[in-house]
Amino acid sequence: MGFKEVKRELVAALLEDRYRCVARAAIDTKNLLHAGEIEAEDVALIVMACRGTDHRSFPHHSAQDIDVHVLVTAGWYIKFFFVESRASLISVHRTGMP
Amino acid sequence: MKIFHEGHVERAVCDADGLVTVTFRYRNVPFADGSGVVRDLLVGVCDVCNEVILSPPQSAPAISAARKRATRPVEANLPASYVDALDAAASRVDVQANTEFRKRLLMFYLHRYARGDEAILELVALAEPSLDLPTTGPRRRLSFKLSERASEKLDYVLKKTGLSTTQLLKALIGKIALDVVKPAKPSRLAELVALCDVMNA
Repeated sequence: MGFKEVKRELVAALLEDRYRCVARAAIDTKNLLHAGEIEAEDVALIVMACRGTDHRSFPHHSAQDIDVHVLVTAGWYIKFFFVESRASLISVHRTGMP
Repeated sequence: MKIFHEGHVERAVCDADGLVTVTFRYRNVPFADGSGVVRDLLVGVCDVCNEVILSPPQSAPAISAARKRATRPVEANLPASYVDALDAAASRVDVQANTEFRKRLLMFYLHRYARGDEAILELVALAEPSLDLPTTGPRRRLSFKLSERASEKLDYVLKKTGLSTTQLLKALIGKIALDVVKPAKPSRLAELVALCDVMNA
């Protein structure tokens, strides 16, 4: 999946509530979307402003057939992958955080 | 928004088990920073390991409301030497310690003062500038969120000492520097390493 398609799919998933926040037995408070400190629509706006150079991807460590995508743009770090038509967001936070 | 109900099944990726099916169930789910728990939250539970691995959009308002209830932001603009001392102590306990461990260290000492394990009034002297912690030079922001219980302890110590939050943070870091950073063999290190190990388990 190329960058433009990844971006389009993520924006649509965020706006249509086809997204999940990834949890590891707890609510990830560093994931601002998961902690309820940012709205999905706001994340979609950040993603819309992304360019191809902001994007990289690599296989998921526990499901090699699934690509994990990272967008680093305008002070934001967004990490996610797709399962079927849903976006699973691992990280949504300001850059500079660990 | 499509509303899901308990028992809904879909595919997801589990960190431990790879591509799996999850079943939506109501669970009490803690915040990862220890600031509280969201009760009866609809989440996706891995059908293989039974761990909570996702939450759907409809659970966001409950998380947000619980987060606001459970947390109190604490912020201070401190001389860089104080934040450096705190980071030095954290890395002495665990070289891989992240900024979250700053809060744990501060809370460990706050708890000791609140419980009376340390003489609470020594904090007033510790809040004063010292040779080890110069107040000149750049400043850095320290911010974290406290649970309701930690917040009560903070209020108790603030009231007893008459210090401001910034002064109290300086005093706690002063104590941490004396206890953990300065000594060649810190006496409390084993206790803190054990605490860190439990947190990372």
